[in-house]
Amino acid sequence: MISKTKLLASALILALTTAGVGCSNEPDRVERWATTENTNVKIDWNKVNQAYRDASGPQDLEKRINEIYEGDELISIAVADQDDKTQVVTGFFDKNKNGSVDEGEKIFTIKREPTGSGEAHVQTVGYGPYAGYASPFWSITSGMLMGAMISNMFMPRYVPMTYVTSNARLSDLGSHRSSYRASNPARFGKASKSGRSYGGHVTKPSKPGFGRSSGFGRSSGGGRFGLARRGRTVRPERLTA
Amino acid sequence: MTIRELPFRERPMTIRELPFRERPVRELLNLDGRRAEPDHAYAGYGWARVDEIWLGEHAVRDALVLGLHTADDAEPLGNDVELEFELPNRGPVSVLASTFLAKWLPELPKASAIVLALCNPHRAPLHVVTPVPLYYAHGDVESWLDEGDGGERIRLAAQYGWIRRDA
Repeated sequence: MISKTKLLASALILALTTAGVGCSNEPDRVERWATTENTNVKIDWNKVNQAYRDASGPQDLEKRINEIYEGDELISIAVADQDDKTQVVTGFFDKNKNGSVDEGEKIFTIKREPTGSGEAHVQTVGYGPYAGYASPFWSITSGMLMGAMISNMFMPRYVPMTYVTSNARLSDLGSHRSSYRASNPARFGKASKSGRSYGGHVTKPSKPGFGRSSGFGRSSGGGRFGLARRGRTVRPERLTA
Repeated sequence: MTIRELPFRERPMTIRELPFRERPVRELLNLDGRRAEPDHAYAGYGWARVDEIWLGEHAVRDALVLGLHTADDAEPLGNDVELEFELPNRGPVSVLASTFLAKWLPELPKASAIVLALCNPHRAPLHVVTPVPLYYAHGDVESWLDEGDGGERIRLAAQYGWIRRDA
């Protein structure tokens, strides 16, 4: 039986998916905010995707993801590479702390698949409380500015990777995240129990953008380098000389 | 009546006549004020030399930053982007990015890198020959000013990431 909450969450995701925001003309752009089925702890998926794009390796990725996540649980990751350089990163709540992804623990996967020479695409999918979220495929090419975790796949001597967050590492992550939250009081100013939003995000962000920094104290927006021109009937004169 | 005698708004214009000027980088990137979100109506353009600019989480040093715009309704062009310029006293004009850069880059100061602050909604690969690495984005581009304990940094955020095309 589908709960009312789940129906509401599905409807919200559908509405946000079709509405689109601001500047993008991507018809399939998915709203980055999603709320869990049983809790109000949100995950900013755009930031999760950006974290994967920038990460230097699995430990850097799990650090970044735990900075993004605003709930009490720590997120473990498991990384599994295949011979064709396909990579699946699984985020999970390691409730029994056994270092493996057990039933009901998985919350997302990030799958990177080669699509051609020097090219691949990536998709993030939510599970469990985040079921219903699926990012658009985003492309990567060998010339892109990316962290080593992705860009290494384009190296000729790439070695497939296997990693899972260990129990000892969870302790380090917890300490790091406590320090991180303490140094970001505007975002994490209020103690919270799992299932409740933190102070900084009790209200919906005014307009979620892809560009806000996750690790810097405060950010001011400048401009966007595109012009809203949809619906016009007269094209501008094109200069050629 | 000669071309010189035509009113300004009716005169044919060349690419080199565009008022593409040096501007302080904060002005160029619309970072003078404090905004919670980038201004989507911003249409300013020009160029600036900077010691450092961040493209996402990657710092680029000694860069020539070109602030440019494309229109949301610009058609997909394969390997190019249609730029659009709003002009005083006349309607907007467009120029292909490849043509614009070929005309303007030789006139601009040299730097160790060239950064295009330019939306690229169709994720076009730009095959532009430049003497130094060229950085351009896939998807939308926004400018941000980050402030932290260590000071400030100017950052350009790209919706789908940054491409580096080596010289």
